[in-house]
Amino acid sequence: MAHLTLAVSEATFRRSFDLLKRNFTFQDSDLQDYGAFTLGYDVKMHLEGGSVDLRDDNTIQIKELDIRWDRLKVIIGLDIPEICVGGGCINMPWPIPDICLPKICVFSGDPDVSISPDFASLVAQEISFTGSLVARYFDVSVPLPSPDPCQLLRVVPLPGNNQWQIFVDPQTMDLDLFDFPDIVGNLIEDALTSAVTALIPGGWVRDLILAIIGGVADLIRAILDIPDDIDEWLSDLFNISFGLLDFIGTLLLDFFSSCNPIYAIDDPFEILPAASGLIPVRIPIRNLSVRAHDLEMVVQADVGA
Amino acid sequence: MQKKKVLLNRAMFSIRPYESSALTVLTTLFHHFTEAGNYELFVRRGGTVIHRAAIQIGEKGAQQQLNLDLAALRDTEARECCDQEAGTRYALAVNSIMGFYVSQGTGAYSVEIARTEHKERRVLNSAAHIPAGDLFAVTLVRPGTYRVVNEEGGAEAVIRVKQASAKDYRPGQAELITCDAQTFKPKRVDIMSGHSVVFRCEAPARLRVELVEPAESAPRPRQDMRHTLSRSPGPSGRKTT
Repeated sequence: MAHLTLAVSEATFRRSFDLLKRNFTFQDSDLQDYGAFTLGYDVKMHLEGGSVDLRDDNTIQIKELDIRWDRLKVIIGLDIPEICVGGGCINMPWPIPDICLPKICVFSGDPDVSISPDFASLVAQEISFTGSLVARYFDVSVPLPSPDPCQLLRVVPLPGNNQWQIFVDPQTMDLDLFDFPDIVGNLIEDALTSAVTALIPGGWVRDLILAIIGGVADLIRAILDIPDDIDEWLSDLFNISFGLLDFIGTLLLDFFSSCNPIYAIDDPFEILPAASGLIPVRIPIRNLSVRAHDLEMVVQADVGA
Repeated sequence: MQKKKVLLNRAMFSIRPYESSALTVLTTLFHHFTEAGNYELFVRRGGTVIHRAAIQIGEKGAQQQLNLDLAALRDTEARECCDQEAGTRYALAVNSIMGFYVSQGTGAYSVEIARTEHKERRVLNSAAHIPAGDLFAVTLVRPGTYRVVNEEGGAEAVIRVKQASAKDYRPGQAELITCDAQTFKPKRVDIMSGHSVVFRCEAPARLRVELVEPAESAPRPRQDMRHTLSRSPGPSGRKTT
């Protein structure tokens, strides 16, 4: 039988988890070159909401944790192909060879346009996971791994002494895929159209250039190689090409399961502080274990020699 | 993506006559080499030689066409062009075509080609006229009606340039007109904006293409939508109609 038993109510556990969760932030940016266009993102997120449920089977269930995007910028750059007049060949009678005319181009090079709209308010996602509670011993004399995978994720400071630490250890995690709404597609198309149109002089020159490129909307779709909806294309890129969700999922797993304990107990544990010239009374903690029950978290341990 | 500095080729859209004697943006002169031999090329801008090169016309094996962008030529120290191995040399086949065009800028160029052995024997002096057998091409971008004049004999033709439309625009189209001292055949062609007309000269010619009637690219505002201000008889009063 354990020497010590400690219980934490579900409500208290929920507040502790909430505190930990609110300290999780993620930001990242990347830009990938696809030849005719570049695509990138500049994102920052935090977590909000969600429910915590301690369950009798020694698991903990976190449901509907909201990913709130503080910044979700999509960066799209188009490399507009050369727009030229002239060219073509004309058949000539023998012995003159067929004559090919030179092309004269409207711009000195192939122009670029770039947009970076922020869709933070238009994208919503949730995370749910089921995990267990695990206790691990932190030995202050053991050096941290190098490189330290928790360096950027640690919000609970490293202790200066040995500790028993209790972690929420997610086993399975469900993340909503990026699903950009139709309005995002429309906004991107409008912004790109405006950016391309701004390059083109007005009047008959514009009519000529539009005729050569076949219209701005068609040009944009041809460059981006989009058969249908821009919003679906963008969702696929974020979900598959960028792998952003996998990355966030991995960070969340590390954040909770190995970088930030939800509770920590010093070893030795001080049961009486120093007073009246006497040294503090500390007891060594051994064999600490943790279990989840329906209404509380229970920690048991032995007092060592 | 690194942002590039891109400039509009404004010379393409300036309104001016296109002349075979002064090659500018959107014009091309094609010289037809009918005899093998060694030639010298002189390119002039504003009367000053800016490029000299040797041209070798061989019987076989060389290319059939070479288009030279006069605006891109970077010449030359003052040197005896064709006596030095280091000079620019172009090699073409008999019956090949050498094209001279201007890709950008406002400069006007002329081209002179002479036999190396007989420098007094010019085969081409574009500032004077285009010799029989050579070709002059102009790419027209501004919609409207153009008049073509052969200043050697006074013959005239008309080119009507229609507004390009994204629906049926086909790039790289060109119409061929034959010219001699007295006439053009055909005398009238219709093209779309951005397309070209090639003149094949059967007699020495000096061609000039000028816009005589630009097409309207936008509808005029309706009369009843106009706002007119009239000055009243008084010193400060104004009346709005």
